[in-house]
Amino acid sequence: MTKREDYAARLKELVNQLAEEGTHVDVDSDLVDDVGLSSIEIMELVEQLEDAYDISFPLNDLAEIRTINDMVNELERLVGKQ
Amino acid sequence: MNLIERRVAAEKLPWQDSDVLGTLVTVDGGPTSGTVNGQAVVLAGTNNYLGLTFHPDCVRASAEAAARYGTGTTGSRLASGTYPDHAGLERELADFYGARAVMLFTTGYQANVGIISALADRDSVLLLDAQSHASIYDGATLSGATTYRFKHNDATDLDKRLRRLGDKASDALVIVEGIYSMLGDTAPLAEICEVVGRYGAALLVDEAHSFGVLGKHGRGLAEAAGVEDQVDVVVGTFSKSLGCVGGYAVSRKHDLSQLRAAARAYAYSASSSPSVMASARAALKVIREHPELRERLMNNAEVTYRALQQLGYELGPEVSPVVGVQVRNDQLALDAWHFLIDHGVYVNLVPFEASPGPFCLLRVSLSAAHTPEQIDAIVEAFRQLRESGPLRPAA
Repeated sequence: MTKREDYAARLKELVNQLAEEGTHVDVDSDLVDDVGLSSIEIMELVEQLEDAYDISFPLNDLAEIRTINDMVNELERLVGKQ
Repeated sequence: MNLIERRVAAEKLPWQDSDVLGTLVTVDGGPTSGTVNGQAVVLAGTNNYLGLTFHPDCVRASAEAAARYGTGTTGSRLASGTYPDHAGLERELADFYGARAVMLFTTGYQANVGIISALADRDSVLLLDAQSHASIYDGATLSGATTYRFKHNDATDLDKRLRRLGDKASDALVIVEGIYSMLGDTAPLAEICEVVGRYGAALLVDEAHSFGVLGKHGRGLAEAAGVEDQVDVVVGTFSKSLGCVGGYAVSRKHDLSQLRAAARAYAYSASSSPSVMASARAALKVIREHPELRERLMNNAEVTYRALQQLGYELGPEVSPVVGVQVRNDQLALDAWHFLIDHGVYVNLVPFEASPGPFCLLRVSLSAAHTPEQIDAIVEAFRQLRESGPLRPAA
């Protein structure tokens, strides 16, 4: 499994824990419009990723993150900077 | 549809179809009693912590200034907007804080937006407590700085995030509040100062809700925690303990007056009217001369917090003049708010969007001016709300 696939799998798992049961989640699902996450849940998700990978997400970039794929891109960028 | 029509059609207000946002509050001759939508109430949602809005010295000073200097300055502080009361208040606040310089702003919101965007730029890093006020987030956005939030009141998480910054940590500005406005909890300021100091970062404390409330002299949480010399900038407001409107930034360490042109909310906004500045000066004098007001306020806070806790309400973690009652359903919160008004008590109704957790809030703010009978009335209304109103446990 590549790093990118690892990030995506982990994220899908975390998003599934937050989403209502039966919600379809894939890497292109919009976290708000399709999955139904609230802003508080998205921040929870971000905090879990920050702790897991020892990184900090800049708030400046969060508005651009709509999908799991977007978040994977950001993870790659932030982990790569370490 | 053009842009404006689309925007207006798409926007949805909290409790859109209710009367909440049209609430008409009339204050009747004192800081803690009035009418809301025609119903006589005890006012317990006004942030009027020391009850100074009707203090005779403040009212007199305000009226005299209006008569002498007119209703407004019609100019920015950098142009024609500096009158004797602006200069006088700056001097007196500097003396109160033992500060090098004070900057006055027309509102508390502008104070945060103005000073944060003047202190930080695109090359800076800001670290905000997650539960920071909207004005802090907006100041951060305007500055263009790379902005991170750390877990609320968690000095360990702040430490972790400063460590991740590496060499840039010493260029960071950390921002916290004295008392948080929704649940009334205080920042662990001594721990935060220790962490900030270890990395050589700078610290701004917004004392909007703690100025006049905490500390032996009322200078806020930094005074109460004994860390005033470790704080770089304090921001505060006149619209709570001082009972009028306006904001300020003050520093013991730095000459903030050098930022007057850089702080666009200062440079490009008309200054406060002379009557407001005069009443703020009179109120500051009252705060300095009457420490018993703080005792009365904290006593009212203690009695109310303990009583609501005993009634089984979910509250913030500590006794505070802000008592946030958590309600996990927005319709129930709206019904409860109406019930309280019908039973003679006005509190703030806070929607999910503005609250720090998955709940709405019935936010009670106490005042030194609340009489024991008014405190009893507040507690009694909440008792009935729990026993026979929308928040009875079976509901």
